[in-house]
Amino acid sequence: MTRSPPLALIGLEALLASLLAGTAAAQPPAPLPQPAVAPSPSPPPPVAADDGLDGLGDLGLEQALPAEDEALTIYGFADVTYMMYFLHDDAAAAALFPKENRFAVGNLNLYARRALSDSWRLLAEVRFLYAPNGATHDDGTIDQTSTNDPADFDRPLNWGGIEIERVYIEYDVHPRVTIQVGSFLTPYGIWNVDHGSPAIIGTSRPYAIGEALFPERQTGLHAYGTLNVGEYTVGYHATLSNGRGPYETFRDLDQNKAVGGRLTLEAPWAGTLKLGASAYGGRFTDRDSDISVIEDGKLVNTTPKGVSYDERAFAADALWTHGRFHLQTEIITRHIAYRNGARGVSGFGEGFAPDSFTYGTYGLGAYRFERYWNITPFIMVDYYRPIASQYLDTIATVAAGLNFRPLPSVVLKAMYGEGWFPGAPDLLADVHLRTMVFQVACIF
Amino acid sequence: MTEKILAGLLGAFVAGAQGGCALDDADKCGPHMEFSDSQVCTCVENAVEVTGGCEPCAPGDVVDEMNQACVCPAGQTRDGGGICREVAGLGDPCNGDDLTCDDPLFNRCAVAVDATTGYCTSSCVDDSGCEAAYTCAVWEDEPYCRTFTGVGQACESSDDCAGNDAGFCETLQSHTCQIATCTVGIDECPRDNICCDLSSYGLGTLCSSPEDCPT
Repeated sequence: MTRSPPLALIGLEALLASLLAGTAAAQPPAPLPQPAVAPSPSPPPPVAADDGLDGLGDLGLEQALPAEDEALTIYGFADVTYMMYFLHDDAAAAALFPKENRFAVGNLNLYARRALSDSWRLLAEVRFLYAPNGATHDDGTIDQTSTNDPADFDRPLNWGGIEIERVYIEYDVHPRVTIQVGSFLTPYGIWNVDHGSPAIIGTSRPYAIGEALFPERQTGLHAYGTLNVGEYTVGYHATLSNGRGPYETFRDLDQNKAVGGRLTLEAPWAGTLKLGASAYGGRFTDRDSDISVIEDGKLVNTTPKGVSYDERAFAADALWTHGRFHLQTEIITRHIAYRNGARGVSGFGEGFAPDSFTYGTYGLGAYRFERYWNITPFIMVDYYRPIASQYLDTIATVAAGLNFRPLPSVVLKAMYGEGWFPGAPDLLADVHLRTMVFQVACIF
Repeated sequence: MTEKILAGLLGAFVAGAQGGCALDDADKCGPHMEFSDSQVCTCVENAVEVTGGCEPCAPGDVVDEMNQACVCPAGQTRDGGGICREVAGLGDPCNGDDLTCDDPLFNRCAVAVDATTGYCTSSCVDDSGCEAAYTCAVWEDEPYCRTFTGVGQACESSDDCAGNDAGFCETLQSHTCQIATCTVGIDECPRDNICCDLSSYGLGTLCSSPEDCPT
């Protein structure tokens, strides 16, 4: 079986684009693809964090929930980044990303929250986007969303979109059981639950997080709670959702509900140690709409198989804080098995995508000083094994930087990252991708 | 008791996570597929791509690699029962000398450049006048039904494709013999394919399906 090379080359371009995006904090021109979500459950309006190390992870976004609050509270966060890609003009990746150094307005997220009673709450989060303006296609064309402004003599303006990050209603069934219904962040690991740009230490996510081996969010039911046992705190999460899909927030194309869960343990061991284990199982389906035809006077409906696979994901995480030292790590795995007759094309111009096992892990260490705006040097190592391809075997990155907090609600970051591809064939064997990123993020 | 429960949960978690690791090449693809050196799932011999997977061709059929279709071999046609049958005179060897094409329909001897023998075929106006394994060479002064040899044959270098119409080994992805040095707009390619300009990729021109050709 053969297919002509053009599509293969396009597939390679997409791969390189993916690599660069994940390897070194590279994002499309604007807005940044960094998910702008604050910690769940139900982040309240931001308040100043104390200077303790716990503030590294939450920056005031994870305070205790107030009781009934008649007022609708609106708050949010934003970030602006200055990016430098160290790419040669003739590098393949240079054709895919704006290689010029640039400022980029990244996240602009607004939260709307209201406590409806002592036990009922609502949270909605939306992100304002410049996208699709500036979206680059495989054929090299770039979307431009210019239109005429009827309120200003039809002078040109560029419009953008809105992404509904999450929206849910939650109810305290019991002091140890809270149920959310709606679109919520998948409770797995550390990063996905606590990764709004002001709350994270670095400027970008580890590869295994960015590649969404677990779905970043789900739509359905989420039950969670905690239990204190002596000095220990045990937590749990259980989810039932539509699973992944192109319209997962309002359709379940395979009518196969996904299930997941997470267990956590917090222990006062040499400081504070938090351990977690997460699991997810579901079915992805992307298909055309049903086809109805009349046969022998009867209406016959057919549902196309489309592309569909079953997936299982597992993750384990650990977060240790001791004094002003902070160390966190996660390992995430995902297994995909396509259903017969519903296998997707490979994306590399030839054949079909294989069943796959992918995994990734990262480690992040940081130390926060009291002085100099709480300067926090940090280092992050990232290792990822993507779906097997002839171009790529492994992605490895190392990043180091500084994080400052001049105000409790303002964070300044500088991060240098370098990524390479161990075990890659000639095409990527000697490729090193280097970036320098500066970012200011704030809560408002 | 609590420790046992935790140990059980941990064991189940580790077992589940490790289960995915046990994924050898034989398990990575579906029916009528194999895991290729290119790290993708491709159809096994005598099977063609369909939506979502591969389907085997009927016994006696061969694969039209360019169009991913099951067709009768050169020199045969499908009868009313769907079985490939020999067509008298079609595909018979000829050289324009002592081996002649005597069939009144397949009276054209197609001999490739640098070849001494060819095959008997018919004149045509378009592809509908040819059997499925043939393409009407409308770019010729006198169009005739012709075949393309070697398309899709596995290769490591173009030396492996020598002597075939598909004389170029595409080593970037598919590692198969492809038809190169066609002319854009003339499209000296198998039916339903066009000549694609890939000079921006350093590949010159290659025959490909229209949807795979960058515009």
